Amino acid sequence: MRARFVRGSDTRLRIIQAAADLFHKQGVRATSPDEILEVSRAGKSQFYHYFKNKEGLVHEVLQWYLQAIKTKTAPLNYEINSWRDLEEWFLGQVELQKTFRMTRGCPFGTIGNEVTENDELIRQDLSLIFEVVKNQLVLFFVKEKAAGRLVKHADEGRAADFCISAIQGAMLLSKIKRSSIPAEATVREAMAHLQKYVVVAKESR
Amino acid sequence: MTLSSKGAVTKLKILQAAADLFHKQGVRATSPEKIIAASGAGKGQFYHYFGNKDGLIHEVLLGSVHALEAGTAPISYACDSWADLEQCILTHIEFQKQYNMTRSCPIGTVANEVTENDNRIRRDLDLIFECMRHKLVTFLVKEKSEGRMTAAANADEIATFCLSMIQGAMLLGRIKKDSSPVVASLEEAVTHLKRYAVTPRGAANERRNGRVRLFPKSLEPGMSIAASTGRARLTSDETRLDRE
Repeated sequence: MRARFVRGSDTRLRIIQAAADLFHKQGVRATSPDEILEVSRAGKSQFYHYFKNKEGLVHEVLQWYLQAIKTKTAPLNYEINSWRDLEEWFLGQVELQKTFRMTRGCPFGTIGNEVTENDELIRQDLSLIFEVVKNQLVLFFVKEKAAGRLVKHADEGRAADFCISAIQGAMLLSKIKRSSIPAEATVREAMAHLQKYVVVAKESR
Repeated sequence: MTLSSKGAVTKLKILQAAADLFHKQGVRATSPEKIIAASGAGKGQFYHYFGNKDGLIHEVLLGSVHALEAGTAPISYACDSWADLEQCILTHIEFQKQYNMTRSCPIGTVANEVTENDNRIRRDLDLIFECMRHKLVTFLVKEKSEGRMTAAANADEIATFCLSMIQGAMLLGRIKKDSSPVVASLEEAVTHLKRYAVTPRGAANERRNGRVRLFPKSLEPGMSIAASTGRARLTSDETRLDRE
């Protein structure tokens, strides 16, 4: 995979990035290979050489996102070490949304929403991305609990699912409202919920 | 325009077929031809009643607004008690299971597809979400005014939080094709909501002492609001937290 000569991989990356942006903007279904080629200024033969078909490209786009998360080059910090980081993880996604004037939702949610029973491969790619994100959140909660800062009965996995659902729904409502207000309200409530799991330091009696 | 009863039936059939296809595969993937085939209507009838696909989407969404207002929607957001609110949120899990976790919310599915240029549809969707939110806000405001919700709670924000959780959880459930993240997310959300519930006496104490009583007395830890009112839904997980 690595041995591709530079110009070729440049083109490949350009197509992936153009596709990622269009999928985020308007979804996979509404994006034709021609549109991607136009934006990426690549040739048709290059497109089919690298990706075979649109489904292959969607897969590569999702792999590219996954790599970005794993190598910490994504626009969002997924490595959470404090409650502040967690809040920034929430609000950072709303900030990203603001850069698109609240006209887009989450890139993963947008693609995920289009998945039907016939898109099993794509669904699995997305499922993996959400699993990686979830694991980062779980890791934080596990660490907090190990340090005695989280009540014992708090369930790290459920808390992580809760975070992901909250932000996905928040971004969707905000997109429809074209306003960050619903997202910010949701994040406040979600944080308020999670912080109830924090062990309150016992005061010396 | 008055429709003959036969015409009304045809129109309804088209609307229902479209709503189902939009829910299943989204608006973009659904062509007028598919809708026509699924509804058994004629092409001429389709264009006669709806003009084009956009007109049809608009009518499908308006249908949802009417169903919500009339209380005939698959899930009513009208709540009279905290048990109703819990039920309203958790019912979404059962709703999604009917489709083997392959679909999310019908409104959310269309909403996710909206782009910058779909302003009319976006406003229709906004109206639907506002309808749902309004019903929840109405309940929460009443609870607050009658002393059954903590004074510090923000009814508006809580209602928004409910909708976000429902939408996000169902989307995640669909992507994972698994109900467990939906159950986890929505049960956590319910745990959060219940913290805002107080008995009127508790509310009086709260005002007097400036401290918040999290649970009504009848709701000892380990018992859910629904169970205490005879409408058991959940067992105990969501209240574990209060034992601490």
